[in-house]
Amino acid sequence: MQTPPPLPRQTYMPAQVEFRGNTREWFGIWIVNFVLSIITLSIYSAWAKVRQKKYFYQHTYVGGRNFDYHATGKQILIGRLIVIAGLVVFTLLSAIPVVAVLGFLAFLFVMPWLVVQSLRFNARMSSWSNVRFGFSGKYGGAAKITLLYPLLAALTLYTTLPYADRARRRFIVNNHRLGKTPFSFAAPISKFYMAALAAIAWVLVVGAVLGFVLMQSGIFDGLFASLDTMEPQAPANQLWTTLATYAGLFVVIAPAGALYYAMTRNIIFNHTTLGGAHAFHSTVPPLRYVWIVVTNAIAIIGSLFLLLPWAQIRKARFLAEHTEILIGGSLDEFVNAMQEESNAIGDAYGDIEGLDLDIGL
Amino acid sequence: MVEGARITLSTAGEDHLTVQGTDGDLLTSAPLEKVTFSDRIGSAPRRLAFPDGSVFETDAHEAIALIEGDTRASRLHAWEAFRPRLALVLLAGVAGIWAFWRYGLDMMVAVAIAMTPAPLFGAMDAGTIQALDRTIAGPTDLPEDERARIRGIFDDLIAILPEDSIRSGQEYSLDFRSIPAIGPNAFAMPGGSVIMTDAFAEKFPEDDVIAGVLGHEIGHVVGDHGLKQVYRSLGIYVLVALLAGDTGPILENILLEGNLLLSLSFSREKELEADAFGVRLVRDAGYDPVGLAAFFRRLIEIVGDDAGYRATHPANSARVERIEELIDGE
Repeated sequence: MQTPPPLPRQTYMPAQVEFRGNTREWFGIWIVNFVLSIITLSIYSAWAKVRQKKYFYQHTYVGGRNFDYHATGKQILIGRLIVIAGLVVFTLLSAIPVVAVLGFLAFLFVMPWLVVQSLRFNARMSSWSNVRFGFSGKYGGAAKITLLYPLLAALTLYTTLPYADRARRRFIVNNHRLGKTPFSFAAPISKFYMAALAAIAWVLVVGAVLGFVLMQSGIFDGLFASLDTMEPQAPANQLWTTLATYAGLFVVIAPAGALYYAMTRNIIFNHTTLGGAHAFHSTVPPLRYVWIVVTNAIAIIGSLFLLLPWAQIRKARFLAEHTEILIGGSLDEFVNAMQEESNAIGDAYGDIEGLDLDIGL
Repeated sequence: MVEGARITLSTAGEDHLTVQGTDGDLLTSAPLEKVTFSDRIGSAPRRLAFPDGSVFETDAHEAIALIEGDTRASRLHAWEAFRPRLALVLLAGVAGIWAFWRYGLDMMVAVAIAMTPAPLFGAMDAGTIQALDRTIAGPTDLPEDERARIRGIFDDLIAILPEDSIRSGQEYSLDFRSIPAIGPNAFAMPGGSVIMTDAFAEKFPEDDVIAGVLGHEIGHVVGDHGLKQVYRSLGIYVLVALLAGDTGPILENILLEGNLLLSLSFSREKELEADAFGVRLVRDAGYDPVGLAAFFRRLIEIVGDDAGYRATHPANSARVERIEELIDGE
């Protein structure tokens, strides 16, 4: 009897990421969160944030096991109070010119620290199958991705921005681990250029079409007339100009951003492994993702934000449906690592000032 | 990790939770109050953490709810359920937005102003004036006696300010600058510094007009309008970020633009308040309050009467009307 040939060194079992949340449940949680936040003059919003994260994490499954979020409302609140106090002091002192410049320089130094704190806190507070994530990035690496590379990209007239972006993703992914098992990411730069070019092409093509349509419609006549004469526009004209600007944002900038997001998400997932054994597979169709994002925004505005929970669920489900984990070994071998101290200041800064570090699961 | 287990609550004596494997082996056990229940959120599995470090996970929501009993977390979950009662929560949300906008924000701004250290007022004024001098403002060309005359009017007004309307850290002072970029203008800063442009003193030399406009600017300082505006926009910025949560950049922009429009309406409201304060102050100091109305009439002739939806100030004609109503009414 012949022994079966040995399996190839790397055999993957694909496991679909499942999002089991639904709009009914999330709508109830969302509206209760909102009311409690309003009643408490937004103090409760720290606990609301935890509940939101818990809802989305706990309803996301890989291989039958879900994610979880472990931060407490109190941690989030303390971080936010510190950030708000800093923001108030910064704003008031900005009225004094010399201090404003010094404050800005100080902020540049603090920025990488905030980035590291935020990533570390979020990783440490997240788990899958009761194993915590971790983040081991350092100040120096964060300073490179927040200050140095963007500056270098600017010096090359942003032609090297994809390099800066890849470095940023690499810093984020490669410093993450599940328990003690590290993630690692390496992708060719050409794919990042493809994504950037796709976004630019969208802006140029759709922007040209929209510009042409708006010119023909005469909405900007008032604006040009006022630029000629230096007289302020009539209020009705101002309103049209503002609306046209939003239309531009809506069909030109936002979809280009979504396009880039979807394409880079696919790149990152498809070039990341976990401990060399497990791999990831993201197949988000970029144009369908644009469709989801744009129709979501229209639904949210049209419903005066009432459909926000529906839109969030729809997006989470769409992304999960296009994500697989390629399992190349036992899922039971992840062990919790010793946890270092972490605080919520960077995370709170992200909440308030929109520090965007999401690599998007 | 063990798949399949049963959990038993024994109520003989003290409440006790026991977890057994499918083959009947004892996995873990602890007194009920030592076991930590994860909060119930949607239909996510519950996690029961035992003191020995083992975690029991289950989808048997109703059973766990029975064991857990009535807790704050379980009541929260009950309110979140999608049923007619949720409409009440929705109504509360709408009412909450309104009340928050109408009262909550003012309350928070008042607390913030009370907490602002007094020396900061003067420092902010000095900083703004420095910045002006470095950019668009030059030294005044007004003759000495003209400046003395206008300062005299200013001092007349300050002299009759009620004691309680001057907060510590605020020191009223009037300065003159040549600022061609902003034409005939006067403005006040949170610490009590008022600046009048040369063009203003030249175009509107009448005592009553000067008194009227200075009274209006003093009204801004007494009402803390500048500082309120700063705190308000800062507050709304933070609140939009915290309350709206994860809306994405575009929607956040739209919310903030809405906020900008609303803060302009706040600004127009404060202009009217300062007008009203000025009219009273000027009259009490022995000047003719009609001066302010006359000023706005002349302004209509010079720059027109337009107040768009993005204007910081109300239409001049509306202000004239309001001022005349105030004068007639008293």
